[in-house]
Amino acid sequence: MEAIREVREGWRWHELWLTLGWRDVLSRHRQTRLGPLWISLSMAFVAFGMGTLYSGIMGQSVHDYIPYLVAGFTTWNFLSALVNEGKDAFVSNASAIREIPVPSTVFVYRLLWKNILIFGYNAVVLVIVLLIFQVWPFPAVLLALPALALILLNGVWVAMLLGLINARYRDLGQLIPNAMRLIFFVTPILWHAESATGARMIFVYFNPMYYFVEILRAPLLGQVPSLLVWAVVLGITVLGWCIMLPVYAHWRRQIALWI
Amino acid sequence: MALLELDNISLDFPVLQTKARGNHPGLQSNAVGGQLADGGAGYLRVRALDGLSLRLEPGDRLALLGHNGAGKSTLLRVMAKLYAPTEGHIVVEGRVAPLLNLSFGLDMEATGYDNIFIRGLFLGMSRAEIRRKIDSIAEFSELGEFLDLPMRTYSSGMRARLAFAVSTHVDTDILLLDEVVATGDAAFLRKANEQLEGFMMQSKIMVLASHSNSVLRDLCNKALLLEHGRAKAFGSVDEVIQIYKTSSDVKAK
Repeated sequence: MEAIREVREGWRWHELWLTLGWRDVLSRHRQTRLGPLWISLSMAFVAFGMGTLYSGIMGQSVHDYIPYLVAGFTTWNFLSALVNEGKDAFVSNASAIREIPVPSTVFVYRLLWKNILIFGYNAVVLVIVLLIFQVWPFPAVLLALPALALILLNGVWVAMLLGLINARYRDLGQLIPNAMRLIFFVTPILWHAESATGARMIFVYFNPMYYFVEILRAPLLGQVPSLLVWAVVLGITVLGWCIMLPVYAHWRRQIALWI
Repeated sequence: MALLELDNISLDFPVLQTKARGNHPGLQSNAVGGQLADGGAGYLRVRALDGLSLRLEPGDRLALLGHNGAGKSTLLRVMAKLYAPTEGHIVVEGRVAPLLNLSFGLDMEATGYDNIFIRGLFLGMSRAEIRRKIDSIAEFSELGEFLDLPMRTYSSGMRARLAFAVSTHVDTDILLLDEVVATGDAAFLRKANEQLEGFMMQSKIMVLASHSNSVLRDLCNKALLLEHGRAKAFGSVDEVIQIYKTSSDVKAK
């Protein structure tokens, strides 16, 4: 109950985390002329650099491959940031947690909001790519909204759970980015899920990240994610919250002492 | 209604990434710090607060005294509900404004005005409230046009002025202060003290930790002397300061 109260309480502080999240985006590109547009630019480099090379390697037409790559990469950047930054949700706000009594969820919402904004800057490139290659994503693209909502719900439990564990056992903080880098290559982002055959299908169907990528990537390209994708993501959401709530409720009072 | 009640509070700090080296001298032989103990699982525990009970009602202005590491700041953080006590109960009624670290919430790259908003939001003010008070905050800080410059161009005294100006514009019932009046130049100190007095009049309860006896005498009407996290003396400010002086004289010999 205490944990749920904190989740709700954090919303009341929206003015604080909206401000902090926005400042986080700005401060990454401080003193540059283009500012956060660099986020879009680096995605554009990926689209045209990797897009042209890998479409050749994979033997696919640029028309199909570049929209697929950009949608997948945008989604992956969002997901991996939620995990990689989520584990630091409390550690990186140590001074605030020791000085000012605000609900810890403020720092979770702060990083979610920051990454929504970054997702937005990346999505600008996606829109341009879709225009260039004349992909018309309507009406399925509207499914991106519930998909985003589900991903954010998962972002909350991931940050609260990993953030808590990482405050106590810092080795987790070293492990996670390494794991995420590996997962990037074994998840169908640069390649298509259908091209994995036989035992390799394990990397697709037993890889939770595949479902999280697919649930957002498909609508962005105007496709409807399969029911299995929705079911798995929904299942992980419920499971994650069920694990996080009691763990967080039990240990949350220790966070300020661990960091 | 403002109320601050501690009932037999103890707080253990786990010091992770340390090894208990067997034989722990700990306990009262140290001149500073809390009491060390083996926390099990191979790391040390520091008992920062030990069995404190206290009740503060409107009109109470408590001075906290004690040597370095006696538990003053930790106690303030428990009162601010930043640290949950390991044992015991705490009841806090009313809006709490902790002023523990003047440099907190200041973004060196942001302008002074932006920092007023950041710190203000952290202290629980709404944007509308800050907008209403921003002129008064700016005026109090006396920073003038510097408020449009990034914070990194400020001296430490100027940063303290800004932080102090924002913090004292929060409407509050319970005010917790940790050595804040120690920075800034003489003119600002005088002004800060005046503001503090006005601020204290509005807030119903105040707790102030300081090593400056004259500040404590001026601002407080009760005092608590901490030693190794325990309450060593409680009473009027003059009495407790006297006890503190005698005990540290004894130690000095």
